[in-house]
Amino acid sequence: MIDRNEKEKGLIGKAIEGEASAFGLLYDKYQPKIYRFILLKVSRREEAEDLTHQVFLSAWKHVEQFQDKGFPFSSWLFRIARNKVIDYYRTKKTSVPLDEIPEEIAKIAQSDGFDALADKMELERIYLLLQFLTDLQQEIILLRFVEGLSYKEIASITGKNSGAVRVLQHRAIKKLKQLANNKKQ
Amino acid sequence: MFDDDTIIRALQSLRAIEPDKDFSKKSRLLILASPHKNGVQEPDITGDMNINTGRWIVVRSLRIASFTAVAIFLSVAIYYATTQFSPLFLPGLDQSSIVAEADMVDQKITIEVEQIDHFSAVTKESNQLLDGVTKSSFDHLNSSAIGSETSQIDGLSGQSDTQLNNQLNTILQQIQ
Repeated sequence: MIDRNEKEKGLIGKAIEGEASAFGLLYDKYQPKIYRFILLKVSRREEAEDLTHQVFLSAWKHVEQFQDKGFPFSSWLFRIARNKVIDYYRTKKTSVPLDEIPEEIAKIAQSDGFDALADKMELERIYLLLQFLTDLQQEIILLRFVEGLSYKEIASITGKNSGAVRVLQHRAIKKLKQLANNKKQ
Repeated sequence: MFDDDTIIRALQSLRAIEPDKDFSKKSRLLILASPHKNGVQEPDITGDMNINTGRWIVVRSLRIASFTAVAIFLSVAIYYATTQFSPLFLPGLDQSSIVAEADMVDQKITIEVEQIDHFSAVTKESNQLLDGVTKSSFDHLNSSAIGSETSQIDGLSGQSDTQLNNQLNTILQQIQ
């Protein structure tokens, strides 16, 4: 049986050779993660869709630049996504609306998984409080707890070392806790 | 009260966010239809790779390989035909040496033509001089005059030197 990583390496190799169907499989696997990451960063669906499209288009056109450093292909995609979001804020000069809940977040809060009203409110509050974190803290929190990446992988995406990522994550959670409890009071 | 677990649980619930399916489908098609550096574009593939896709790749590869082979064959054939079947083609012949040799032959021909012209002019002048000589009269070469001079000389053989000298002077004055 072929190892999962080996299968992914095979797909990347074929994509580098120009095989669109191989890249299509990589797209299917990672597109929801990249979209989610971008949406939580820009908070607007249209912009998130546009940026997600740009990320995968760039990846397809420059897939031969991917260097296997032992991390999944998604690490490279997250790095592209991160740069696209930075460019987006640099050129558009817009900021995330601090009191607006995106449609997607509202839908999750209304889904069956959130029976208690308290849980729904907690979700919406945490989302809003994320906007008070620095860009780097926000990225680390999203990559660690939403996408479930390892410290090493996050370090490779953000360009920090694993120790710095741990410290930043600790500070971010602490800040979220303080903000959430202050507001509640 | 918010604690670490509550915050982490709320964050993990954000995993339920999914992109719109129509958007994902359209975006996928557009990306895969866009040109790639290695240039192998494929037909509309929206799902996993199947047997038809694999067959298409094989056919496409074979087609590219056959086009390349034909192009190489034609290039070689044209090169071979233009070199081997050319009327000017002589194997092992250096083109620069041929040109140098041709220049030498040309110079030799030019020199020879100049010599022919020179000889022609000299011959013409000689002919003109000979014509002039044959057409002019030479009395002293007349046979009767030579005969009378001989008889006179013969008649003088018995005379003294003084007489002989006088007679010779007279003859020379006559000739002049």
